[in-house]
Amino acid sequence: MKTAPTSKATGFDPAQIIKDHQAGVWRYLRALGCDSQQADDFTQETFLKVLIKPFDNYNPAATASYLRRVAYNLLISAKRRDKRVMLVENVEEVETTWSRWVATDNGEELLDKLRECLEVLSQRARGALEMRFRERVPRAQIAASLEITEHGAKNLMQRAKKQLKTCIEGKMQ
Amino acid sequence: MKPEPHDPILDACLEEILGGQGPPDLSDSILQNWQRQVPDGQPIEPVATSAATGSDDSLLAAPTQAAIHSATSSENNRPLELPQRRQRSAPGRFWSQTAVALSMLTIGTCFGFIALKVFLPQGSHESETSVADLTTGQSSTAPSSSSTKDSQDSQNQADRKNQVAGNGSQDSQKNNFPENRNNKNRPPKETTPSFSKSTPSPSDVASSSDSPSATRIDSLDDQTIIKFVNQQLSASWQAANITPSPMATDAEWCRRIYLRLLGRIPTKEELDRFVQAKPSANKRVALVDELLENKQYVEEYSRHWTTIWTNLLIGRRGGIGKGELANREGLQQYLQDGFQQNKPYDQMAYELISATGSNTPGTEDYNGAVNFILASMNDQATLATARTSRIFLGKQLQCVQCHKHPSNDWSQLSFWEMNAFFRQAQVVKGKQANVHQLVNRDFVGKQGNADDAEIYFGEPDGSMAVAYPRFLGGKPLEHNGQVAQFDRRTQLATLVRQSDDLSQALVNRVWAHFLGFGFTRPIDDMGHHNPPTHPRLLKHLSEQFVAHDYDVQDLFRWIALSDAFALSSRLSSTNSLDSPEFGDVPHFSRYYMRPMEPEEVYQSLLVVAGRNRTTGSAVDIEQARRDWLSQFARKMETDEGDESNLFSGNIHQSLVMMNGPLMKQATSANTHSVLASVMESKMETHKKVDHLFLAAVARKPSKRELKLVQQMLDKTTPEQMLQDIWWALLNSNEFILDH
Repeated sequence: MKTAPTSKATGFDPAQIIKDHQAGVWRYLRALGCDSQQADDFTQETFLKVLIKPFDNYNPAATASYLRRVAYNLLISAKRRDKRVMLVENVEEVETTWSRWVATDNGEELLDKLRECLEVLSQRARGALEMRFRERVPRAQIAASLEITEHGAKNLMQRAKKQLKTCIEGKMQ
Repeated sequence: MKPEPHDPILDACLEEILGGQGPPDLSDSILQNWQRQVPDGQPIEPVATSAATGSDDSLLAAPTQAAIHSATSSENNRPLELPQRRQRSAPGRFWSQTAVALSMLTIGTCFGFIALKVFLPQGSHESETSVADLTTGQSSTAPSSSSTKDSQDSQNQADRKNQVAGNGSQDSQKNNFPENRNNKNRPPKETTPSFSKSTPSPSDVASSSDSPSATRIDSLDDQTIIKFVNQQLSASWQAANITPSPMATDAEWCRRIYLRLLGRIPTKEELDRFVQAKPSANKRVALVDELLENKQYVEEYSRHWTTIWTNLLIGRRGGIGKGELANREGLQQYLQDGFQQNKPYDQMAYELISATGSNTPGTEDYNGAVNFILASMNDQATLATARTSRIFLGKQLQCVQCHKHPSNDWSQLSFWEMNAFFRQAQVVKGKQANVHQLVNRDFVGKQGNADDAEIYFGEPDGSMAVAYPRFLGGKPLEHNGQVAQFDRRTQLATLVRQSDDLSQALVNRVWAHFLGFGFTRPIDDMGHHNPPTHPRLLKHLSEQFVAHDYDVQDLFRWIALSDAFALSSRLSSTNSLDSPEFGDVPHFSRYYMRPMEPEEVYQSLLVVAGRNRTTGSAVDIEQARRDWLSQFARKMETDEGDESNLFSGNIHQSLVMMNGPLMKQATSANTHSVLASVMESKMETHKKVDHLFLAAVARKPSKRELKLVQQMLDKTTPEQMLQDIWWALLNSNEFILDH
């Protein structure tokens, strides 16, 4: 039976690095517009790339930042090979926001804050977002369910998301 | 109806919270695939430490290429087999089925792996690598590691004291600096030992010297270094499966070398002289040497690099307006003298950071170097702190003035500790208008105690914290604020001068100047969070730059004579993936086309207007240049001293280029312009057209363009046709592009 390759480098623990950072890389890729299967694939590829060479886990933030960069490079290289445009228009803005919102915890704190912020949304707004993201119903159906126009449903969700962003920013201060 | 605007991060989070799409545990799958890539139980060798050996075994061009190259460059390793990207349906099921089937194997593997980790001897030095070296083919000592490094560093410092100036006065600086070298004739350099730059940052200047000798790096000759650069790039292309563009023509290369070294296009005569010269292996070497050393070009060379460094140090508008502390002319004079003498770069950095004296030429105690700090002396010298770190160390500290850096170890404290070095600097206003002196005065801190001169800064939660001088990543230094006891800026200048970062930041900057992109993006944001694309190359060039006594002209030669600089700018199907313009990693497999800087356009317009050799008052010439350039730069009055560049393809630029006075002179048949000389000549019409094309864009017209010329000739006079063509050429994108 094959055994896992071992490293001579001190402080290089692949299993731990994967455990510590895979969720962050996966979420970052999702933020770049990957669907969950693409995020799975690119997360795997990212770690396979970086694990080829041992390295010191200098600090969690630097490692996370580096892994994000590798993931990003893999993604855009794949897109360019496939002659497809990037999934997200303003990648730099995503990167900046990600760096501000997510430090070293893979985004767990961000999700906690988002959960808290969801609680303060109005019932209608929260209901609209739940239909959109949980039940994945079309906007027309959301509008019908809430007895508003499609424009109304769109505005309601836009305002809700804006409120969520403001709420998260406030909690991040 | 349009869909609601997409907010990628928020939407992804909502899908996770509300839609249940959370990250799966991919550990087993990744470890299994990783295991398949490496031979059974074989330890993964850290990559070779020495970049200076010139070995071309592994260049890990970029994070994305690193692993591939690593796997393919070693005979012991099989080619890297990346997992097949998951397909939408069946392969996805395959993964999950495989994961279940291999779970037992994985568990065993993990146990085996953990056991090996436990029983492996720890602390082997040579295997320590930093995150930045992860994909690099290098290993480097970790910043926090052993006492051996400290002792090496101490020895390094002790040895360096013999080599570079310490923290003495201006006089001692002058006495201790190596003589500026005259590079003429350029015999191969002797292998003079220099000191390794692989030691940690020299923050512990005062530490003990009872330590083993530091590693010495020999200075290599130019050819060896250029060969190393080419080998590294070649390996990078191979790893990325890229075939570089073909070589540029002599005319293309000639145009770009004039632009990079002198900041203007060559005259038609200069172009002809080079293109028509007998082909030889040293033809290009000879031109680079001529542009760097020939007296004919010294003035232009030093003016061009003075412009670049003035813009970098104080911006395009710094030191010009009334009420400015800095005097632009004073700084330019200082820099120009330095570039004319080929002053070592570390000396220049030292002088700019530690300078004292008057800002204005002709005044008593004039020292043009003070204008860098004077231009950055806001109320707490925060701009001086940010600029010094960014320009000389390649570290962007300005963000941590207010909050912790998101992806490295710098905190607010790091910024204010660096800032504390500048607190003895004081501005003394002279009796004459706009004459100012930069002096060092005792700093007593908020408590009024010069023996413990602290500074305070506000933390995000509103509380106050205290800081004393401390170099980035270095050890604490004295708290004394008395200049006679502890000259803080001189100490900072010494630390900067001895830092590895000084040479790396400059190499990165110069590489970007010549090739369009640096090893990091942006070029002045280097660190563990932003590893370079070609770390071995960067390290090697930096080490050699130090070994060559920080000779910037040597650095220019190595890059200008590399294959990367000699490649055509044309993109082909074989290297279409090498497109950093679209965010990809640069592989330098072609010359990246880019717009000229406004200063380069101005100087090039002078060439085609026949005014580049105009004699006249240097002040008038500089004022005319400044007036033209002032149309395109405005201060944005931000804390970072940002400026807007209006020379970016907008209407204003178009109007100046189409109808500006300089363009009118260049396209007039009644001046000394290229056009006038062509029209007066007795050449045949098609030769005249060739001449204009070569003068403007360093190539002859294409068949299609010749056809258009013929059509114009059918409708108008030859003179009018030549004038129209000339105007069109100078207003073409091709003219204002470095290609």
